[in-house]
Amino acid sequence: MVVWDPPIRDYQFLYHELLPIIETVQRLGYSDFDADFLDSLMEGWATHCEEVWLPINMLGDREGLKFEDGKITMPPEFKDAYRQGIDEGWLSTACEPEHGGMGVPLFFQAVTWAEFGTSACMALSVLPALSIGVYEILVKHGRQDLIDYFATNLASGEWSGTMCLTEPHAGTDLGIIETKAIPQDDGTYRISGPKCFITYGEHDMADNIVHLVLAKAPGGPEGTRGISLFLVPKFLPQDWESGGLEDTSHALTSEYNGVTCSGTEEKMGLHASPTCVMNFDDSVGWLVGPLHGGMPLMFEMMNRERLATGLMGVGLAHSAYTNSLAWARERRQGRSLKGVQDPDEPADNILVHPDVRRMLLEAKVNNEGSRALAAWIGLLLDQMHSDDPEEAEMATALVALFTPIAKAHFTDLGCETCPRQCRSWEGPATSVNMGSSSSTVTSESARYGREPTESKPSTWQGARLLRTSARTSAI
Amino acid sequence: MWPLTEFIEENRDTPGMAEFNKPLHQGARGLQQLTLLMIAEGMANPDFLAAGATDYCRYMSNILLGYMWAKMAKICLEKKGDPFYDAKLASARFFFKRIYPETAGLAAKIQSGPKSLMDYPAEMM
Repeated sequence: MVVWDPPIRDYQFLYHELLPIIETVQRLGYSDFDADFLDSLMEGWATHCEEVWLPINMLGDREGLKFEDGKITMPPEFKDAYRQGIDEGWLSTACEPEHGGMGVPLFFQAVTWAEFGTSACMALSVLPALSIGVYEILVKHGRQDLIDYFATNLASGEWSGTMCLTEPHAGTDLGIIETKAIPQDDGTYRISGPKCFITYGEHDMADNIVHLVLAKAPGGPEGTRGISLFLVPKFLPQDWESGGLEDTSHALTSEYNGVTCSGTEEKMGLHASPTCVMNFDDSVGWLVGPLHGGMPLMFEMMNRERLATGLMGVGLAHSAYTNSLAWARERRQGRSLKGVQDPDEPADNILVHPDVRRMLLEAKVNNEGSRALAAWIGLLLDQMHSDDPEEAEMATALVALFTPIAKAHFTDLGCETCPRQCRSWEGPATSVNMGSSSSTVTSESARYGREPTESKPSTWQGARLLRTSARTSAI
Repeated sequence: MWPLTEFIEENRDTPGMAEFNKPLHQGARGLQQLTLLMIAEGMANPDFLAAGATDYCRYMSNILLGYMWAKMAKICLEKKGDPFYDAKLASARFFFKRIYPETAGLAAKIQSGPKSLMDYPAEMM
């Protein structure tokens, strides 16, 4: 039996006592966002996760997805759970009300939403997280007709989104990607090239999939500065050829837009989250943002995605911890080194052993600390949009400094913490029915889901960290 | 202004805060020294930066988490007697006694530079 204890009280402490969350976001324009509303959001989201997402988590890992003839079929329970999330509006908390979203400050979705969703069912939670990432780039940098056509359905979850960066030969080194974008007379582009490790690149839970694809258009410089960003839908809008994205019925053509999925990765865990090998073949796409200016856009969105990835480490470690704690409270093995504690029982409770406490407390304290730092970064994400240039500049600098750290450290801690929780179980840890072992395997996926910190340390950790820390007068 | 140094200054004499503030102050100074070391050594040898980058990142994570824990401890010190705040204070103590001290080991690794990595004969790996 997998248990999960949503850390609402912990977040209340962070949001109501540690950080000036409410007064800050009210000042930033969320005038009717108050403490009671925040509490009800956390409780509502925790209830949804507990009742709808948690029950399908183990099923997803056990049954996984089915891949056949380029199509991916998700477990029906996943479809139902995803649909319920759409119907209850839980997938679009941070989206603008004009696109049907809840319009609450960014920190909620970036921190609490991400942690609870991962704890309950990470395989499902990554889908709306990606869609919201695509939504944000589109709304901020897309042409108005593209926004009008795609934003509402991305926000609700009716359509989902992906980020297509990696190619078989180009992982952290995106400067050498080969996907091409050829401009057309009608203003669109034709995108061709292979992409891999595309999360939810293909699936059957949404009517359309909106890919944001990094590609190189002619005339750009070598390396990452020649990369542009394109929106490439799985199915094209019905009237796209007549230049029409005005059709408000959002009708789609039924033919593939040259976007095919040739397979999925067989992962260690997270079997219900499709990791796809994609191919774009003369696919119709629209430029988003400036030509040859795709990378800065990607990095802009990355800040929030990085924090969300960090929270995956926390969410999984918290799941592992609550399951191990529930076990440890009942389990009796050996005697306290200081003498028998429960003479009426054949053995003492394992919480008398210092090393069992070490494993549990490392998890608890790492999670609580990470949550606190994440909450602060979440608030800074909102402060980045302040009208006060000084506040926005400071927040932007701190976010640039903190988010890579949070992402790397929280996922590292998750990977260290989860197996330690298993160790307190002894033999039963090997059973997949125990929440801690599932979290252990999944936490490795979260660690690899980030760009590997170790492969390019001189670029992003050394130089970037030093530069940003110097800029924020940290030194 | 960088809020960490400000916080350390403010709480120099706050009752009950020494056990959190002192190691935080020490760690923050250590971070400053490591940063200067990496800049100085990295100019001549970029491998020095790359070899210490992951440990440096983890060191800074500990400082940031230490800052959060010291701030949380300050709130909890004023609410002693309530089980939630007492436990949070115990968490802060656990952090500074049993997690944060890894900064000393990280600093030693960063200071050792890239030699033991890069001098290792690649054909024997």
